[in-house]
Amino acid sequence: MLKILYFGITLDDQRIIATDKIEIGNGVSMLLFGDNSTGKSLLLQAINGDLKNYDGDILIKEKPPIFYKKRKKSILLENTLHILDQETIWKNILIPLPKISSRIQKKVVDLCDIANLKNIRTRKAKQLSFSQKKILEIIRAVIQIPYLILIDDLDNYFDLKKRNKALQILAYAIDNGSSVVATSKTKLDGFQEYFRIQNKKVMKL
Amino acid sequence: MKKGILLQIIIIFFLLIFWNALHLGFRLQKLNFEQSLSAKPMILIANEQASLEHLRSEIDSLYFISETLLEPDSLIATKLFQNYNLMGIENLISSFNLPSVMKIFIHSDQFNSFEKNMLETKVIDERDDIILQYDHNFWQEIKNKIKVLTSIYYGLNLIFIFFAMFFLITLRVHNEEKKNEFWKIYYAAGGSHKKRVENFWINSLLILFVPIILFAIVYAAALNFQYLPLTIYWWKFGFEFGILILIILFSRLMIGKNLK
Repeated sequence: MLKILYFGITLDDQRIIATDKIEIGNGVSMLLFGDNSTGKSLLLQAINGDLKNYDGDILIKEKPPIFYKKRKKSILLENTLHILDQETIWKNILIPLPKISSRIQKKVVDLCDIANLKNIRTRKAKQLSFSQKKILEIIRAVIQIPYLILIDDLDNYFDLKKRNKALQILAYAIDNGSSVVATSKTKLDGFQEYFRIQNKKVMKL
Repeated sequence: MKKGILLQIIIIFFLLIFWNALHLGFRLQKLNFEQSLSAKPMILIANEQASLEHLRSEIDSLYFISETLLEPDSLIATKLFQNYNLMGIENLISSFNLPSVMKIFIHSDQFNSFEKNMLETKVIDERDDIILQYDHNFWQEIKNKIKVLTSIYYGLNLIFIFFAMFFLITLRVHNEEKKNEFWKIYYAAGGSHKKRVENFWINSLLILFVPIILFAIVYAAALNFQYLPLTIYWWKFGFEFGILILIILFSRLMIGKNLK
């Protein structure tokens, strides 16, 4: 699914992050953890095609991010929220979907149920807490079943209980072939593969 | 349909009504001037009826001549008897040699300086025995009025086109920019990158065709129920359609990279 080869990011003549190889298969969840300012977010932006100034190759399904410029196959959940506050939870989840079948509607209801949003899905998004909004974003990403779901700073949003619910929701996409790449400052349970950034190098654990 | 697009459709519809009312007003006023000119014939007087008949055969087929009426001396005598109640002195009047008269009615829209000179040359220069009577000052006055009216009409059209383009492009760009936040969230949520471009062109088609179809219905109904004294030239509709297409293309240019 995702192959990163001889990758490196340099800012102001300083190497921020480097790795010879990261490879993740289909339907895999992976956690990359490391301290602040170690380039985790930049790596996710590069995978998502938002950052272009890097060395090496990033291949998604053997194709470079430029291939997905118009047909985006990865979804990045950043620290910033991307929610329409004046719209309902339901509408926020369905925004990017070109067609809304009854099967998808049922699945959204099921996922909302896991997140305890089922009974309040007609509420406006502005009434939700930050963590609920993040869960909403995860449901919205999961329901599209992209090749890759990228989550930055996962440990920032949830307590342990909510994080388990988020992972439970992410499992739906993983079971359908999506891969998940998340970052955090510390090692979190619930992932299949772990990578750590140490001394500006990404190492597989 | 979104409110912003609906508002643009309504505004364009009313602008089309105003614009076509301008065309119609101009044609009506011009026609009024032309009719007042057409109603005043050029009068030719000659002692010999044959001279007028000869001239008539020469000018009758000219494109700016609407009609020629020849009144021979006998008809003039009869009119004099009837109009001035001169019954009983027919013999006296008949002893005078009365002139014949020819009235030339013109198509005033085609009777410009060139045509007027041509006709006068034919009448005066080539035939000394014919006297020409025509209200030249009135002709000049009407031609001047039509000239001023036409200048005002073209000026108003230019101002209208400039205003309409500026206003509608600004409105469209503003309307698209208002949606920037939505599309930013839409893309971040994983939505298709083609969607905004598709959306722009679908809305453009709506903005282009809906007001024109609405206006065509109103225009056809007004013609059908005879509310309009005149029709509007079809090429003017084509011109308006072209301006609306230009507005859409300029809006697309102004919005630029936001749509990508």
